[in-house]
Amino acid sequence: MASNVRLICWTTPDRLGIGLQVRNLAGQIHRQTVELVQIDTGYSEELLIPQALFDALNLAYWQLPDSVVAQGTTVTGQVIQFYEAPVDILIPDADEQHRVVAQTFANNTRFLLGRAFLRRCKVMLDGPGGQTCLLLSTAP
Amino acid sequence: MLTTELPQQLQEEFERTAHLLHEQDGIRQALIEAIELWLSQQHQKLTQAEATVNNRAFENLRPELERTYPGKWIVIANGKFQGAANSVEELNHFAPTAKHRIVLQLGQTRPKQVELGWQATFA
Repeated sequence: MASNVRLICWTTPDRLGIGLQVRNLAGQIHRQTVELVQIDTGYSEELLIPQALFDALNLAYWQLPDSVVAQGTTVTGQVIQFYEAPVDILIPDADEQHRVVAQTFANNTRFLLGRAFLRRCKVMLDGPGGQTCLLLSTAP
Repeated sequence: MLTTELPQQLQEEFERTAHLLHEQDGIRQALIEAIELWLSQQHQKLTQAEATVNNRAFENLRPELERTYPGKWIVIANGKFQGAANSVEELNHFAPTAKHRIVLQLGQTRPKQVELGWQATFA
């Protein structure tokens, strides 16, 4: 049986990206409008946020213990200690939200979605159209 | 109103640099930036100090917590176990003045190793 699919798309020439907001568990949103966050299939987890954003959202208030948190390894073999805390990813255009663990490390400035987040969604890279689309099932 | 005296050499260099960078209202603007930076650094130091105490407390309490509250969310702040609940949201009001808390669902497992791609390498 065919299912109906709705596409929510963002203009992202030559890259994959999704427009989202990050919300801490007290309801504070990182900004009032969505931010286009790049999907990096080389990153294995859900969400990497800049350290400044980790601080701005006061995520130390919900931090996972050091003994539970993973260590990261860059492609050059550099070992990194993460800080982790649960947050919500909001995708208002698709009316979706996902509880994930946000990670950062000292002096990190990158804001990325990783492979673990991709396992939650169907995402399409529309190369000719220069856009990334989220595929959402709708009632037939 | 705050009034204080700086070492003369430091004051002269500060005034010269502040005027160069900010022109009008330079000293006030430079002082605001300096105090904001200092406060941010002290905030991080205080948070880190609390994190060290909380992580130590968690490791000491972990076997007992895992026996008593399997599957529950727990919170540790100010170096002490503060409470347990069925959801993380129910823990929001524990230790409201703490800068750092440990929050964890007991039994929750996390990947031991995280791969960072080229994006993070060249950040």
